[in-house]
Amino acid sequence: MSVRRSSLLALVGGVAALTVVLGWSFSDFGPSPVMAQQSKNAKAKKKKPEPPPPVPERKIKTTLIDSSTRSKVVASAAKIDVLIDANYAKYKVTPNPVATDEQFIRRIYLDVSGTIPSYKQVRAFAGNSDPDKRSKLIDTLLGQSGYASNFYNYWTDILRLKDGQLTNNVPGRPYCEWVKESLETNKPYDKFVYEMLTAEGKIWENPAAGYILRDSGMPLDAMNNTVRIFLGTQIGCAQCHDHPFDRWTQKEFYEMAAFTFGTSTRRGANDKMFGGGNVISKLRDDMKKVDEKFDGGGKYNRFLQGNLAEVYDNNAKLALPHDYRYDNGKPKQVVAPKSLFGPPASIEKGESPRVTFAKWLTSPQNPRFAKTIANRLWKKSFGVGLIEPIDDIKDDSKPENPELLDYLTSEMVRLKFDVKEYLRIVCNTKAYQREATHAEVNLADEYHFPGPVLRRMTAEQVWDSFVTLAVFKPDEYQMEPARVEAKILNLDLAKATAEEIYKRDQERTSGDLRKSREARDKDYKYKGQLLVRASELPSPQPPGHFLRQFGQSDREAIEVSSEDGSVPQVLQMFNGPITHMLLESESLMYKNVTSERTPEGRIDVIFQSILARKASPDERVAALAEIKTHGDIGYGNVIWALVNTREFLFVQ
Amino acid sequence: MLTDLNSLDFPSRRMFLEYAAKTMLGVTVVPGLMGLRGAAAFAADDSKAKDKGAKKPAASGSPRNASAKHVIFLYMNGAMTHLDTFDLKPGRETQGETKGINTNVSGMMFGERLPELAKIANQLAVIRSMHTETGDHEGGRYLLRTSYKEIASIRHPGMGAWALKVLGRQNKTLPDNVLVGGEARHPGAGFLEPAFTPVPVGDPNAGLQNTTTPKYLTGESFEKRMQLIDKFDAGFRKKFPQKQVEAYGEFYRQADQLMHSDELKAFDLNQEKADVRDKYGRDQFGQGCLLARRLVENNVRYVEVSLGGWDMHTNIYDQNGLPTRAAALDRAASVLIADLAAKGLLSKTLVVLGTEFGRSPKINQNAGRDHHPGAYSGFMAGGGIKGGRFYGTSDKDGHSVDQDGVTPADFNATIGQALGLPLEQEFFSKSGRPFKVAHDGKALVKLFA
Repeated sequence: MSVRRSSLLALVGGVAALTVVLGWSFSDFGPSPVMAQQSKNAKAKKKKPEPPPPVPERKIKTTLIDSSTRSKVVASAAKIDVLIDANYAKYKVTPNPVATDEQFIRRIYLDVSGTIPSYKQVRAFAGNSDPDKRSKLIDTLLGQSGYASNFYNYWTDILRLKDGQLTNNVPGRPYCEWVKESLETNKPYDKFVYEMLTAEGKIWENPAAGYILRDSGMPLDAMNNTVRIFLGTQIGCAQCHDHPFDRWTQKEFYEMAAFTFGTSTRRGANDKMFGGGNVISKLRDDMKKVDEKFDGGGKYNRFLQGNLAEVYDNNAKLALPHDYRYDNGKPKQVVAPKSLFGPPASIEKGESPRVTFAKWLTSPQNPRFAKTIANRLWKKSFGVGLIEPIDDIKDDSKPENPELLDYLTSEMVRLKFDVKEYLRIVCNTKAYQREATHAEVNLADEYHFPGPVLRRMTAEQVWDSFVTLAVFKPDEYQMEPARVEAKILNLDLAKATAEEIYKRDQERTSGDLRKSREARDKDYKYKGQLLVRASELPSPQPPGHFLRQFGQSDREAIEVSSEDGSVPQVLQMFNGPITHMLLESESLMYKNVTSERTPEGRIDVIFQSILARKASPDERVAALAEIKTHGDIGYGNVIWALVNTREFLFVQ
Repeated sequence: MLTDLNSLDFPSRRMFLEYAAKTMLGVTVVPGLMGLRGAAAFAADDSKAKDKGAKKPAASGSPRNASAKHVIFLYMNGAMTHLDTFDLKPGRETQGETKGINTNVSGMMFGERLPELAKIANQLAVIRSMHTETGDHEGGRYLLRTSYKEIASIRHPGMGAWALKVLGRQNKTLPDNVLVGGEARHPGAGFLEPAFTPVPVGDPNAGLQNTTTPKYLTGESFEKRMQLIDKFDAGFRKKFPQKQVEAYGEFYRQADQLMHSDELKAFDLNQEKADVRDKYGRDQFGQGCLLARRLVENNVRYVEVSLGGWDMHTNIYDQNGLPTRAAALDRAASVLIADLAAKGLLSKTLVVLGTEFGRSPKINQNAGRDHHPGAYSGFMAGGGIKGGRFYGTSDKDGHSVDQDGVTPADFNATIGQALGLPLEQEFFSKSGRPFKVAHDGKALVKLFA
């Protein structure tokens, strides 16, 4: 615990003195949580001290970058630049100037780690004279936990990850954790997808099953989503009728859906595996004897129904709808699985059609699998895809630069779907390291990549950047590992007794678990807000939360987060606690500023912390005037004003 | 592209089918399209065509029905089942477990889960012939809110933004376009000025948050800080003259204005008595409707309130399915309409209930209903609408539209008509492309009193 107690509140001892020094730490917030905590502890001392509750953690191993492949990376990046240059010439585009180190460090941190760099990191980079420092920083960041955190946020939006209920009585947390771990260990992308598509079992035993459980009860929509996410193709319209804007027929849709239709997500309560009879009714009856207050309703459903949820193959056959109206099939006719494009998927003897489908979908020979992820990650880095929209590729979609997209796709295959290595190449291109395009980018025009486009930070990037500014060890906190709840919730219905379920439910609601959770959170809370990485907060956050105000998705649909501005965002930035925590004397910002003695030095700290650059002469004059007029409060005003600039919110 | 067709005025079912086929295919009007695949879906059964006789095309685009000063749009997120709410099919297998109940208008029947709305059916014009192009949630929502299909190259404005663009701001200090409990992605102001973007309120109980400056800041020091922002931001803004950057300027201005507004308490539900809050229901939708009423009382133009959870693919009749959603809708919408009427606001407030599409007549293997764009329902009340009737019909199983089909564009044109928006006028995006308020939809002028 003593190690963990650090983050925001590191400077506890110096609070009183420093507050007087700068003045701007005072606010209307009353005593800080840490001070409150101390006085409580003082009173509690009379009693025998309780041992601190256990705070279980998850071991995290982040895969590092292999520095020996650097020359290959550089060569591949150069090849990409040749292909981009060809289009500059073809379309008479003048590329943007090379980004300054200041612009680069801020962008690379946001793109790879999901946050602005800290003051210390900005200083270190500025003072580094190594000609390869950009390339080396890319390698470092790809090998740190921030990479997994940032890309977890990205996949959460695509996969609609929820920590709470994934489907009826099934928690999503184990699946979320599995996605996070797959990113930490840099699981090859094809393997990542294959494991989701072929998973069997319950969420606690095989968390990758969460992918199929997410669309439980919607087998046709599930196929639609899978093809859209991983093959960048929209076949949804063909679910009800032949696709009006693409070539897919309803029959083809059904043939695709037939691969996975024989997959069930719920065991029947009468399944033989539970020993005969209705196991749920039986256990409910028994529960009434153990728990007098139990009315036979839904109270124990997280144990009863939750443990029926399981992905397994029941080999059900899919038939065309009863009102099927085309000549190529009859209503209610059973359809055999057949793949949409590319080398046909043939079901081998004894193989589940779902496995065949997963092999076909993730194969390097699939014409859209590698292409879709290559295009996706290109868009993630540049702000625009080579084909747009990235999830509506058609036969006649013309990439902005077909040779480039072909090359990127072949690189993805050569790298065996090593996403980190692919991003490493993209970030090493000259094109990526140019300034963001200044002029308005018209969505209707083709974009020739003179540099990345200007993007507003995602909700998670804004939040994580504030955490970076305020908190001493922003990457320290971990959410509760899935295994804690799994131990309570996962049970074998064939053997479970009412007594055991009752006992586990008591455990679930017991004070011990609550105390452990409070202990986990307490050092990271400020005005009721848990100041930790967005990826360590449950997904999605409730509607009023900072993250939702800045556009976090509600996780009900695929990729619906938003980077639009709004009035509540501005109010949050003006008056909300997240901005004002930067002005508190316990914040990292305060410590860094007060470590400098002169107003000039302090102004540099503020600018470098927030914008990763020093103040321009004009800005310096304005800031000095502010400090001269308002004294110490002036520093607070400068900080407040800088985080409220557009420059802060946008990724150059 | 639909100027020569009128949804109110199909002389025969065949003509409607042609119309439907053409709009479904998203192509311009070309003779002989019936042969195309896709069109066949709607051409299957022409034998029972009812010739309703030619009627005069309804005038649209003239603001003659413009009596609404406010719109409250109740958005049923996830696609509300039509067969269990407003489009009952008693005796049919597709009806499922829902029974019909009588309303206060003879011959008008609602689903049994809507007993309170049934008591004020005389206020409601219920449309049972909505149909749309897509069974995809995001696509359907976008289409219903903008009248246009979602494409990558431009974003179209929602109706609230159109209203502000054309009519100007009605309330000068409070936000005039508000979104209560909506999802992150909303078309907002589309290609129009960011000033018309709806202000989202995630949780109506919390209202508009962070509207007061810390106590230690005086008005003067706040002003000073604003000037500092301007100074520090000047270089960046000059370098990136982009709409997404400039948009924040407008949000700063509105936020600043709002913080100093005396009317801010309109957003504070604590100003209401507990029993009033209870009456609306303490769920998010109920409190959202109460907030909408307070905003309209304060002269706010356009408020959208969403009620999620209608995507009932499994166990639709389980307690946390239809019964819970329908109860929330029934309670809040009925109290809202009654309250508006009691305060004399209903005649100038159009209350609209809309959803992205309907749910399949066939109950699936998981005891749920799937997506169904072929036919669905909505209603309008107040704002010059004559209630107590149904508009349009679906076929015997609620599968397709039988009579008086209404597209999302027609639906929005009707809202535009009530507000007095010029439906024929072209507005140009920055790239010079022309757009209309409701994409050539035809207002259902028959709905107006």
